[in-house]
Amino acid sequence: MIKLKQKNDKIIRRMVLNAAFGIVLMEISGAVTYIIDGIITSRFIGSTALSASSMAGFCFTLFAVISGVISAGAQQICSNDVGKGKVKEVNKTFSAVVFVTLVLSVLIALFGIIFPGLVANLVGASTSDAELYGYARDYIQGFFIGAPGHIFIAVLIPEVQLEGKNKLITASIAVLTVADILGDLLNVLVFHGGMFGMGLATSISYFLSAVVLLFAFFRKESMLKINFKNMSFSAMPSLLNIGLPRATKRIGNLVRPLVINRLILIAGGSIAMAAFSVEQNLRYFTESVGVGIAGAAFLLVGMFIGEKDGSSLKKTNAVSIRYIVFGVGALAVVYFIAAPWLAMLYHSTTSPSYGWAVAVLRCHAVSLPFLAFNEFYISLVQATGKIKLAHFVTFLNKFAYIVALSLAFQPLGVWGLWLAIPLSEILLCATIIVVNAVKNAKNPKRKSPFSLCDDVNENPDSSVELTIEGKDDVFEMNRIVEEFCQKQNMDSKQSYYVQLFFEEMAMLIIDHGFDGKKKYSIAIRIYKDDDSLILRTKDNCRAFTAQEQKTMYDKSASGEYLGIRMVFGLAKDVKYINTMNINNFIVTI
Amino acid sequence: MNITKKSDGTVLTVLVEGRLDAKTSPDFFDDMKNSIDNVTELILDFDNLDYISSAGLRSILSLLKIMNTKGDMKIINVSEKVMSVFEVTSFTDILDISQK
Repeated sequence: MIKLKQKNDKIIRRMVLNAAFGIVLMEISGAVTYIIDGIITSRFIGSTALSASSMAGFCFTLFAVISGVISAGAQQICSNDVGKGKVKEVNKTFSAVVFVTLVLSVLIALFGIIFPGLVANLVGASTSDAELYGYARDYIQGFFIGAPGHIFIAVLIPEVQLEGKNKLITASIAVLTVADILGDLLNVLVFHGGMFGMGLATSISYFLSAVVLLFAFFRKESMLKINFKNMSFSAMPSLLNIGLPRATKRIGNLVRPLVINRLILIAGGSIAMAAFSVEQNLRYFTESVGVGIAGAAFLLVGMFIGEKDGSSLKKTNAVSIRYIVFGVGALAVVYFIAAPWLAMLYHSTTSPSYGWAVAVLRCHAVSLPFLAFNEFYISLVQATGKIKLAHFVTFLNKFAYIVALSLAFQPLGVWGLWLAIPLSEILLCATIIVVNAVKNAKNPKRKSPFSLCDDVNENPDSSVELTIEGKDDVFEMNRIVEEFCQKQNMDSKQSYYVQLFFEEMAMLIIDHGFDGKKKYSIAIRIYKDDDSLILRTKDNCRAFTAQEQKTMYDKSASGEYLGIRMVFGLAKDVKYINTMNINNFIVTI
Repeated sequence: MNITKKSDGTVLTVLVEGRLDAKTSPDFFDDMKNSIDNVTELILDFDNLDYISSAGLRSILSLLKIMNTKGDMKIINVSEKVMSVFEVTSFTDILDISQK
């Protein structure tokens, strides 16, 4: 591949940050509502009610398992098709996903509304403790009403990110948090709806949040649109296959405490358990950045595989790892230093649990960068279709290593269990790096011992990549394009068209989007795909409006867009997609 | 880009060689504008023109607007690949163009 010293990987960094932002918000929002509900329940209804809502937290995990599978599968399939420029196919799949989610979530809601007592029994509340059972049953009934809202939020957020509407995600999470707080307070202070009211308030807040997200798909310019008259279910088996490792993760999160909690109680009793609960409570917050970066990588890798863009894939991996090392690393340092004050939120300094809480928070802080890398690696293998490997590494990550180390360090008491937290993540990280290095030595598709996935460019010598930040770059790069065409032994006409399309697309984007307000960047890639030659542009300028797109396609329009009309007239195919706030043109020559 | 001019009374023949792109077109137009004061017929010879982009087309269009007020303009010896650009942009409807 002809490579130039890249001026920057601005576009990839922007895509990773944009994608991570929405996922981090989603993770934090779940924690916020959980904590708010707990505090208000405890203060206004009582500690038995709090225990009942904690037990019913299993239902939250159940929704997370279902939404996680659908969301992961849909995200990978849709981003892959977006990468290939198949907008119609994406919409058919997306509409089918929405339909399936709607049907499934309504059935789940009906089950919880009709059989709340049965669910209460399943989570451990029995009629022998009438008060606990009553609270659990009532809360479950109110909570299950919101099943569609819960599940839809997780399914829709990645698709809203593909639309580049991160502000909607922020608005949705804000609505969720405010509605939840208001609903809870209204319930306990005005309506006195008890635990049913608490569950219902949470449900209403999730519904409102989901409605806000739906706005992303009903705009005129939306790339993704919901149309139940035009659905395709053909991708559903793939969706399930790709999404299942998320279920493994959630199930691991559910099963692990069954073992670990017992070991903690044996080693340090309720004092140690109370300390450990602090780490469990803060976990969603502190791990959200790493989970966000991993989720961003999952979304982008799927898209770049669809584009057969090995270079962007490598850049995404490099950028993600850089953010993990510096971003999550910095967060870990802050978390480590702030551990005493965080522990004070839950326990006074004179409490016997305080010291243990500080210790476990610090151990968790040390684990964060390694945890983030492990999550990133699992996302990567999942997005590249290595589902069995994803299941296996998830099992190691969420269950095997932590349980094995906890059992091995049990003779060290509570300290041994705390040390198992960072050591399990470090051990898995080392396993991944070493195993990859050994495999890479034997794999011709991987150029570096530290490569984490196969190079998707089957023939890197048949592509060229260029970055443009101004008109001078276009003039300079045209010479490079000409050399590339000569090296590919193209005939005179094809070579002319490649250079022409390069100049016209670059100048179109510069004239359209370089408004002088900030620095913009265009990444152009020319590569062979089967029998066709593809010219692909990505830029971070403003999107083309529907009217501008119509003018581009209008043959009667004169003067303006003369260059793009030349491209439309001479190319085999031209597609335009705006996804994650990045303009993409795909020209088939 | 190279320009070679041959004047015969009020007829100016210009041999354009190389590329007419976003970089060279402004200089081409400026040079031509200064050369056509007493010209009533402008002939652009594209025999050795390897490349033309929309920037080149716009400069030709601007020249045409000037020549329409005082005479004629035609383009000769256009290669097949350059001709395809003229055809797809409908410049063949407004210009007198002949192929090689």
